[in-house]
Amino acid sequence: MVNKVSEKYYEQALLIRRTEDTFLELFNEGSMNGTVHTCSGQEFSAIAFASFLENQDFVFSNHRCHGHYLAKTQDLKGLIAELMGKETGTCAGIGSSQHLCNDNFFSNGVQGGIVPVSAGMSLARKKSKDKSIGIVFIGDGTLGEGVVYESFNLVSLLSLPLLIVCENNRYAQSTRIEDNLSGDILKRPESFGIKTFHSNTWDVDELLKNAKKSIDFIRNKGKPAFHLVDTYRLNHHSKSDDHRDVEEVNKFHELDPLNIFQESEPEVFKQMLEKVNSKIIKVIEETNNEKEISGESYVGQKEIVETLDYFPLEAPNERVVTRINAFFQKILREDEKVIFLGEDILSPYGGAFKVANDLSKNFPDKVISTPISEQSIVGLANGLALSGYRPYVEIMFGDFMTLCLDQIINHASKFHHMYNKKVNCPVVIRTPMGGGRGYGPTHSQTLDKFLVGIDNVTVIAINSFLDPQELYKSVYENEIHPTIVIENKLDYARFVASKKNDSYYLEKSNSTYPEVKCSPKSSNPDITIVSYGGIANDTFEQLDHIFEETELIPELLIISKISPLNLEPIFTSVRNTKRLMVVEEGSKEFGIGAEILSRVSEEIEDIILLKRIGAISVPIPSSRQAEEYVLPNTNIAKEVAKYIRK
Amino acid sequence: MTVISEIKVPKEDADEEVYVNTLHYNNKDKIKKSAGVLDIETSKAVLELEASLEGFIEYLVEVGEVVEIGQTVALIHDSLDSFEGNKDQVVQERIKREDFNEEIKITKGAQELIDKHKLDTSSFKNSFIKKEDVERFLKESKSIAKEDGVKVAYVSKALSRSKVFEIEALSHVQSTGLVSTIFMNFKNKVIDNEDNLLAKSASASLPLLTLHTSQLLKEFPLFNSYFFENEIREYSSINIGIAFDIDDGLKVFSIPNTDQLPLEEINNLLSEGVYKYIRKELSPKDISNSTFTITDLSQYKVESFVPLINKNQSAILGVSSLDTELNRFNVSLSFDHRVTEGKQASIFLGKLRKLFEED
Repeated sequence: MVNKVSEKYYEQALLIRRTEDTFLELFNEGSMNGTVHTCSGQEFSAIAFASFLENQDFVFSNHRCHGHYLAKTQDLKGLIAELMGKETGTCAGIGSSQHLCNDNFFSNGVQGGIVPVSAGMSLARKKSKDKSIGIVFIGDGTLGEGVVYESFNLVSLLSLPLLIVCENNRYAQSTRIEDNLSGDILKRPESFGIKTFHSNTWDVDELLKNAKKSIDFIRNKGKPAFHLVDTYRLNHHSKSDDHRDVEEVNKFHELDPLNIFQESEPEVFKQMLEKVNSKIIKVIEETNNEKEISGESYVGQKEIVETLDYFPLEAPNERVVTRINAFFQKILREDEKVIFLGEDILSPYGGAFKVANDLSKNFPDKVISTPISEQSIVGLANGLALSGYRPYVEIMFGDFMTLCLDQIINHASKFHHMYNKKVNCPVVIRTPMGGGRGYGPTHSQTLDKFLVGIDNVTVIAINSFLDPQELYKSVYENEIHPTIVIENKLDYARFVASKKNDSYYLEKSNSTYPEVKCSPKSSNPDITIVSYGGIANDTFEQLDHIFEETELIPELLIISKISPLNLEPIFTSVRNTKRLMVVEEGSKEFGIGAEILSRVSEEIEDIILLKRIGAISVPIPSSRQAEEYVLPNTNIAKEVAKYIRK
Repeated sequence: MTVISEIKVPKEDADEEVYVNTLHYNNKDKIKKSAGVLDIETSKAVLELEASLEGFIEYLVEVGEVVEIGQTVALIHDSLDSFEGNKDQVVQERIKREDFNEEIKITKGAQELIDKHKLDTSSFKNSFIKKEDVERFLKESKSIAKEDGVKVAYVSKALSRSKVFEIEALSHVQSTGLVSTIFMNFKNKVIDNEDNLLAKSASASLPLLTLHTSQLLKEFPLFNSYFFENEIREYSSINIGIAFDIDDGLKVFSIPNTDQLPLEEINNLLSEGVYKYIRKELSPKDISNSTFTITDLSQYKVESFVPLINKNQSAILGVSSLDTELNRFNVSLSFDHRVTEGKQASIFLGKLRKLFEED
């Protein structure tokens, strides 16, 4: 029944099964940390597709990835050591079972988001024109994620060489497919114009044949395809969470090709089992006494403290929007790896705020107009970034950043560390925030507070005092990790560094993302005011009022990097003034100001005053009078005065 | 791969501290030998400091910084590699802080008091006027009124930095209160020298006065000395400084070893000094290290005046304008009583008159 040709597939399948069985035993013994999701019964799916891949082809898998990993990489040692938490593991034990990365293989334990990332990696391969392709494995449960359908749309529109393999094991964790999924699985991709294939893991020969067919289709046509593989998981979802009907499970045990092989050819099977077992035992024995990675070496580098120095501001006599556009004209021309993507960015429209003006006209191959799919736009960019590109994503309104959070937090932010620093994800996401234009609750908010304090993510806020080209240049030259750049709707039209006040020096620091310091020319300041973004302009304009109302001479610091914070310039100023006021446009509670105040109070002891000014915590109204009331922008001096009198 | 030269602030006439006025290059710029690399402002002059060697400049100070005599303000490197840490940072333009030309800001509280007492805002020195400033002003003016019985309105303006330094330099000796001045009239001499710039001016007597003063100082070393921590320090050379004020502020031009020079040489050096003054080319060497000063106000119809003694000197000679009717001019000598006394000063000045008139 099992011929010599297919014997090797059976041996691979047995190796996967026995490896996972061993993992479960080790967990039961308490000698493994974390969790595990086995693919017992589904092994042939992994083997069939991996068999027709080339080295440069990639596989992106999910939480149930051990089989896919072994089939693609053959790296038994790396997998076992990874799950045993050893430094010799494929990701030094950082990622463990669900987060593997090696040799064009990636996996992530969050459902759905891996599909647009795989689309981005496929786009990079398409651009390289080397005929390589990619496979992303999802389960039937993942079909509940909306981003999957955003991605179907994207891969079809962009005609990307990606095979989406859906392993339908009939359960989303513990929930039966009947209770979980409506309609027809194959009709879903078909409706996006994606070619479909259908196989199962019980007919191995047919599966192999169809796997080859689907892969050949993608490689030859350069188009996406969807391959549905019916299968059944013989073990629990994870470790001990199985409540399925025993009779049902037994039925699939009987259908299982490895079990059938064992029964029909017990001698051959026995020999094969011994070979596989001894291979696994050898690796485990070798790994047992190996070291775990230390917390210190995992956390790694310390922040470099720069010596502060200040220089005059440069006024290019151009508007903020013109300067940002000019930056993109320049890097799109100079760097072939730069890609600009977003909604409605094509000429002649050029984006909602015209930052993308003429970019697609001048660089048609490098500017990608996307559907309204914020999550998968960022996912696409993440995949490009992982593949050596420098993607810049435009999110039309800052309020829509909430739609991108899974891609920012669970993907872009984590790739570098969870894959033990093997990869970088230098994606840049730009978006305008701020009110004052009457756009109402969902198009006016400053919600930077949701974007700060994310590991590995730098957040920059453009202001109208510093040339945005300079900030973008710093991002371009320095960031190897994700960066979010917050622009401001009202700042776009402002001229860079055009504001003056005769009583103050306006200078910028030598930091990578300079702080702007506005200090009184001839007097010692009495209060430090920290602001950033669009409202920095309003704060600056109200400096005279602040002095008139409070009897305190202000020193204004406009910061450009709001996460992680560069606190030294703030500390230096507050050590002198002993008073600090933070002005932000976002709502006050749990905001950027709260973080700055607490950091300053941790550092400096003899402080006289620590206060915040921010928006009132209600959705921002559209009507003029109510908007002015809710947002702090026009009331800064009044608010400061209120605090000082108290 | 190393620092090949250090540029230091030279010893000035009187100042212990000077103010960095301009940096002529950016850090890491390549400079030639003798290039002027930065300007410092003393109480009397703006001086340009020169590079002694060719190389790459590294400034250790900023514009606006106050630096001490002898302090190293810049380094010259033989290559860019030797810069500390070899930071590849972009060289940026240093801050050029203009003087205080800001408008006045007044708090509401201060404005109320100003209005109430009908005060002139120019009475306040600072440009940010707070309520407490006005209150202090009112209190102080009340106490002035009590003491003097009169309340005098005045306008106060911020002092320029050079004025601040000047006060510091001059108050040093004067503040002891032990300074006297004596006066004598000198008969004028007609000096025919078409080539001499000074010949046609009232300062025509200056070269001759300089010559004889330098000779006399050998005889009266106490006038070529200064008082320092209860001892008198005698200078071992005689370098007469000539204070000019034509149209670019007061500057002291120094003639090293004046006593060893013939009149012709002194004449030439003085002419050269005036040229350099006008062209603003006075170098630190020209104006540093004077041990005795002659100050000339003869161009301003001055009958007589009390010159103020510079720091680290014990006397100064003042030359007033020529009285054309009587063909004479007044010469004053201020001296530090801690170093010498009136009798010696009278002898010194009398001898000088004799030498001058009989020459």
